[in-house]
Amino acid sequence: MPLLNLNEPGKEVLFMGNEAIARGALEAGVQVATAYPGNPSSEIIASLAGVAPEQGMYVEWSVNEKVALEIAAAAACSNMNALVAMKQNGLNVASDFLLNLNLTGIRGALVMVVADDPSGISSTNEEDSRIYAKLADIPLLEPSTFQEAKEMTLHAFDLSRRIGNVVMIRSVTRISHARGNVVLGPLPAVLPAPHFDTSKPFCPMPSSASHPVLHRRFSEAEEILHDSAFNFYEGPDNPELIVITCGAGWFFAKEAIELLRLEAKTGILKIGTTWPLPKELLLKTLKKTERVLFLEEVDPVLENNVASQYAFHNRQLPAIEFMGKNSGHIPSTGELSPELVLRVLSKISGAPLPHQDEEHAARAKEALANYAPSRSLAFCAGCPHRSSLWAIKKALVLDGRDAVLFGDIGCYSLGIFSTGFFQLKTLHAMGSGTGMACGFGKFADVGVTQPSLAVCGDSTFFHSVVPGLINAVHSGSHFLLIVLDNNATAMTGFQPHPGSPVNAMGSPAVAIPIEDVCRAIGMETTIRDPFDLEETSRTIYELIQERSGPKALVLRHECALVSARKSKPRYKLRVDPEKCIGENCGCDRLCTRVFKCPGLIWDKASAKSKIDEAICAGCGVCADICPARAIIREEA
Amino acid sequence: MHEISGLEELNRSVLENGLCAACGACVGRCPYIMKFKGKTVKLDSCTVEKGRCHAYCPMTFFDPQAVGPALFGAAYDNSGMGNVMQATAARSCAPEVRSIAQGGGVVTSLISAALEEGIIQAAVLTSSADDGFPCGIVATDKHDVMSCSGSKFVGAHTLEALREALDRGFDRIGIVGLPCQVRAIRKMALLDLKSEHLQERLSLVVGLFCNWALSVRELLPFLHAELRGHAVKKFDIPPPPANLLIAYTAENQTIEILLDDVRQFIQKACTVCGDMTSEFADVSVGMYEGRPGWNTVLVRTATGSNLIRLAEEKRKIELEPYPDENLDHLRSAALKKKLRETDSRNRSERS
Amino acid sequence: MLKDPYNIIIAGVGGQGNVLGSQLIGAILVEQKYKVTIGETYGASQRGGSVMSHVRISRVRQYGPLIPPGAADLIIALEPSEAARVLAHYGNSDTVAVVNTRPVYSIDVTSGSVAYPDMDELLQKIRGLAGRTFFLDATEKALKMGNPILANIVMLGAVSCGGMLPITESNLGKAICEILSENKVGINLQAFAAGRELTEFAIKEEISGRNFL
Repeated sequence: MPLLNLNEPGKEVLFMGNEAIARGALEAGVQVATAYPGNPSSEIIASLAGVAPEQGMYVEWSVNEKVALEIAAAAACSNMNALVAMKQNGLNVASDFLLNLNLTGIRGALVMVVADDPSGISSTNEEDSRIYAKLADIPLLEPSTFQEAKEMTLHAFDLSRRIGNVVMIRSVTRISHARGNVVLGPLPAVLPAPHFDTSKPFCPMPSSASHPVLHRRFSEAEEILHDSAFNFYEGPDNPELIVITCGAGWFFAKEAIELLRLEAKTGILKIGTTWPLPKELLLKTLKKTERVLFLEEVDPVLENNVASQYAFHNRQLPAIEFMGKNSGHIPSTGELSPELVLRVLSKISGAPLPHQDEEHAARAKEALANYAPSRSLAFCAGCPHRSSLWAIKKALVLDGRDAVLFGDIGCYSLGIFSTGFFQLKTLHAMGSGTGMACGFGKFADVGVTQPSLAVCGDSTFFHSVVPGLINAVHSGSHFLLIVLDNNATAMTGFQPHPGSPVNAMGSPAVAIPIEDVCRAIGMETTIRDPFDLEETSRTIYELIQERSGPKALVLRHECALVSARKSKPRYKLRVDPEKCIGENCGCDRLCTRVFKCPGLIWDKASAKSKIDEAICAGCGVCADICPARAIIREEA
Repeated sequence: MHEISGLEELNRSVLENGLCAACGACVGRCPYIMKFKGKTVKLDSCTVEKGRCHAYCPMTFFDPQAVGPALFGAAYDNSGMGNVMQATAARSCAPEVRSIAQGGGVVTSLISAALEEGIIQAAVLTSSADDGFPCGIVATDKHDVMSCSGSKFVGAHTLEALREALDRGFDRIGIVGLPCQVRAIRKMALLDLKSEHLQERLSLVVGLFCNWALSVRELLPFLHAELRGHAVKKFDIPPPPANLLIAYTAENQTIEILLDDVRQFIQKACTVCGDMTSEFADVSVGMYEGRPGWNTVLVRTATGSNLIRLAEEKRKIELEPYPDENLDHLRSAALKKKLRETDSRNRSERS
Repeated sequence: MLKDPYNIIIAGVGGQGNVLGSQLIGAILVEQKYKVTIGETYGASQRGGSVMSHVRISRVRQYGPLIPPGAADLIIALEPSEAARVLAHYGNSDTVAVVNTRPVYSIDVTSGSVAYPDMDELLQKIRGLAGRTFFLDATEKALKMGNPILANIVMLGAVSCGGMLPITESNLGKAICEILSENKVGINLQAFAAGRELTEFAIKEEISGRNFL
């Protein structure tokens, strides 16, 4: 039974940050929630989808972030409470609409949650989405705890309705993907009545009229938030140092101050409303000290805004040394960690670091050097992407014209590394591989002789590949799009997409076959099973021989993790040690050295390959690559 | 012999230098190299330090003095045509063989005889494939042998089929090959890296005279317009002064191309090869210039000598004396190729 | 009775079920009125990389999602070389390490670009980085029960012994019901019992002063 919509006010449960945000939305009476999946934001909508039928709400995995925001906006323009969630890159996609929606405002509530990924743990970049709040003149809230993530979301709906505009919440990996205690509040009994008032259209033109209104709304937010409980100062009245922090930085600052025993001389100003800043509290706090350290993740957004306020009010304030990213005290990139914060605070304050066991440190150093072998990321055992890239590799080598395979975003992005045989040559943003391949496939006119190919996943295809294909057909570009269709948005947790026969809420939905879309715009389209390595490779080779416009090849095989949930492995694999020739001429460990499925291991003692039964997914593909036919595949 | 290395060195010194003779010695026994549309392609890296690919390749190294004594019972003769026990003119006794063969049909008849007499159980020959790319096959009867009759004039990876013959367990295998292929076979027998008893199992090597072979991969696109989609069944180069290459298609259409126009497609490997008469074969067979319907035969080893004697006894082939002036002419042609090799090697300054 | 805050790390390799382990511990302890914070790294977790879950338990307050260096009290390692990696960063001379001895080879090891350490040496190093160590082949047990993923529950059985963590059959059963489903309770409790059995034996051996593995 899900805890998410449990109506037991006061009960304390363990929630992931993303669930806390979802619960806050439920307590606020959210009626429509949308997203395109992306870590670390995915569980917000995933968890709401699980309770949507019971709560009578509409939850959707939209085709991309811009559409997700548009659907949420349609609700918020009709007096409803709407939530849209995305990761940092997603906001780039949605931003065109956002920067017009902010000018018209809404008549309802719209909370936009953006989960940033400092250090790019599961992202191509670590951009700081907070800049968008400034750009759009919308309020920005940043939770520091799980309870606060829930409370802030609840509050954001109220704020949004009161100012008639979008409110943004910025979470980070260490909040969204962490878990902690959350005390449940009541769920509302009555929800706003949906109605679009057709007498009042939404139009940003002329901006001479709408832009001042936007600023007025922002000022209202500033008024409402000026004494928000999300901002507070903790510490002595005249500290030697004040740490100004937001988001996950607060946890690290608090613990580091305790561990360094700096409580008596260090204060913390915790900011929850990063934009607009609580000016009164800020100025009052700055008067207490002459040294300030900023702790925030990715860009110095808080730091620069505080510095700006300091500049405007410097006559009332003492001379203050600001330390942070601008001064070089904090690295200008990457996420914060307890270790980093401890080190910086220790250096600034002169307090010694705790836990200095020299002997342990020496043994640890040796252990790390010799007893903790590296673990490169790899496609899972049985992953169809490994087979697809294996077939692509062979086709491109045989073709021999130094073909370029443009990459895209998904599990298969790993194809740029060893597990994908280094086949991908570019990796940027959703759909960009196809756009670039479309361009490269057009350059024969200016002397390019290398064939052009792109890969994309099934979900990526719908998200943003289609416009690139239309461009390619129209411009007559010669390239091959290979759609790695594993029937899942696997990278982010198997969410359905427009090619799936179900929607987010588990109801039947119209599945749009990828091949139908390609053929409808006039592309020659072929479908293969990548587990048939020979046939796949031959097909790719043939498809790139003739220059006759853009073509599509759908390599269709279900994600091994999805299959494993539904059924037992298809085959039982074993290696016949009599036949395995291992490192010798004629094999040289093709399966373990080159193919590298984690289900295969190399047994040094016997100098033979082996199946790791704890990992093998039973796909059976390795039996086809073994030159000695030593891998035996039997129906399980 | 020289230092045996692995695939990476083979790739560096031979494949990437365009010096592959398309003999097929390296393919078929390795997952990292394959024959593809007339080309030898390296698919991936290999870390085996002493690989058969490098060891057996005729282009990596070849030491005549290491091969010669065991084979000929004498030091290698580098005067032009290699060690020759007997030079003779010969032709097949079977009219049906002569009618389809390029010269006197001696090769076809010798292999048929060897199979029939049990000297060999199987023969690795070059067949005309339907896709226009000739390839090696394992022949076990007269019918198979007949289907391979006729010169191909292109690199065909014939020795790929040797793997099949070995895997099928044949202990007496015959091979018909170009000089490069004959050298590869002798290296295999001598080095035998996998202890496959190759010395004994490679029982008969019939070598062909060869001035050069064409790269079929480069030739086919050139012929593309004339072929109009048909596959080439076989090629022929009629004796001078025709100066023509004739391509026969599967539809029995013939296409004539000036020899001078196709010289650009001669394999680069052939320009550094000084072996015109398959000097390390048991018996070498070539055209008899000025005498259509007959072959020149150079017997080099006891094995070759026995086969010729047997084939004559069994009325498979008939022999006639080979005039001295023809032999002189052949020797000077062979020497010319040797000089060309030296020239070419000096010019290209191979590493 | 636990040290406050009590810092646990579950270390393993993507796909071994770290997240479930930390979630179960968290749910059980929140039920016992602890403040629990769990920090984990995923996104890449299913794809063979090193994975860590930090679990922090306190009666006093909500701690941050990451444990400071050298401050782990209990390390549950689903893989031995990951135990070494995590102990190096977070272990101290009082840390208790419970280690599944079944190695999972990375593709770097499989392909030969790096070597997996000798097992005896590795276990020796692990001993040197912790105060107390327990080794068990949880994967072997799990495979015998039909599914290698159960190794993480075998490990929970192990850390329910000797006062390491207040996990019992009944509170685990309840948490499994909430997080997975009722029909998964049976097999998971079997795995739990197997882990307990192995470790209780080990603790007895430890007390009697004999070396064990």
